[in-house]
Amino acid sequence: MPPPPPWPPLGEELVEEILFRLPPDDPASLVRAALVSKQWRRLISDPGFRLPVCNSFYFYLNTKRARHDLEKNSADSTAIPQRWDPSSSTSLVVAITTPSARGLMIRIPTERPLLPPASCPPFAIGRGWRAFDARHGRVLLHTISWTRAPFVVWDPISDDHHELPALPPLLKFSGDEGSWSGAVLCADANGTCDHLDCCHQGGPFRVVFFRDQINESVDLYLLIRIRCLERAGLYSSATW
Amino acid sequence: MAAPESGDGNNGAARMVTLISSDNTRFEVEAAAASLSQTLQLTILDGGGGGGDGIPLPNVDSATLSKVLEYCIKHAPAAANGGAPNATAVDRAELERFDNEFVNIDQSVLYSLIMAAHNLEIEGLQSLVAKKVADMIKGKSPMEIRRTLGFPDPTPEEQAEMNAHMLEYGWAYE
Repeated sequence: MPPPPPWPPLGEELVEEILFRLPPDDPASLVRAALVSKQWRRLISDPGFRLPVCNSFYFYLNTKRARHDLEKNSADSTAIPQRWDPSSSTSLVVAITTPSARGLMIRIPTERPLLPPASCPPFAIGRGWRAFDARHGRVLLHTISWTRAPFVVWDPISDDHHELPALPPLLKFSGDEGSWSGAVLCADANGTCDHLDCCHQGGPFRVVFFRDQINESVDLYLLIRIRCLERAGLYSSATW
Repeated sequence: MAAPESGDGNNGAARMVTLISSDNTRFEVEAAAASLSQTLQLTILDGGGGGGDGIPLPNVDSATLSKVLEYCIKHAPAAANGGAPNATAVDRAELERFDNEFVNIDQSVLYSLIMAAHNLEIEGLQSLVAKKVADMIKGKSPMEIRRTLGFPDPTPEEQAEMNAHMLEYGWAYE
């Protein structure tokens, strides 16, 4: 079959209509579309763009400082530090949480500093937060601020946020020591949840932290919250 | 406030209007169907398009206009019911089947439809064709999307940027 004849360029409004209709359960489509052309990338990284993902939101601007941190710590993409600093922004970080278990963050280079997106919920505007993980409609945030709980589970749609209790001393987050990771998930025990709306109205969630010790053991901290009840436990394994 | 005589086709003979394509073909169609176009709606409400006059559409050729009107005629009854909240499941399934068939078309026709739906502001059709293009590009790599839509080959600078992006977001290309 001969290749299709080239289309005359579509106006921005029309391209946006198309991008908006990429399937909501496949955010990778959006990532790939961002690389099709400068026009498409500009549209996708525009704060006014309506992301085609049901539980999605523009997150933070990635600053020069963040890029530096990223280069230092490139192996762990969930630990990209993000700080709100429009004046020195070099790229936009979009955190997308999807109905599937896989949350993600994408970083899209931008050519100009961006203003805070109108759709950005107030809680996200606070400085000093970095996103650890995003799944099932929630985001696990971390801060080193002294006045706040270090970890917060945040629902970007409703702006509800829930501070996690202090971690056991053994697991205190201390910068670069060991390799850290964390995840927030829906805690639906029956496996019947479609994860489309489970983060609203205080649905149950669980948070898991891992720390890889230098001696090859793994610490695992699990916290489950169902309504107002919390259960937490620390497990340590040398035979992970 | 009492609405003026709107001339909808609920009482016997439906009001007809004439549309004239860029290549001077005349299409006679029910006013209710043509009114799916926001652009045409005002003219038709003002009484235009009737009799021997006709509404000229210099941006739409006859092949595209006949396709557009096929859509409008099919969707007009549901639109007249205010989006058909009381339509049966059968009706809705039938419209959906029609829509799927309708966009199963050559890419050049699809492009003309996108432009026509945009110029004539036919909301449902705009949405339908945009969804079709989104379906065409989903699951494809940036290069494949470019080829699908007939973009020119990327400049070396664009190519380098694509390669870097693919390295960084390998998961998106699995």
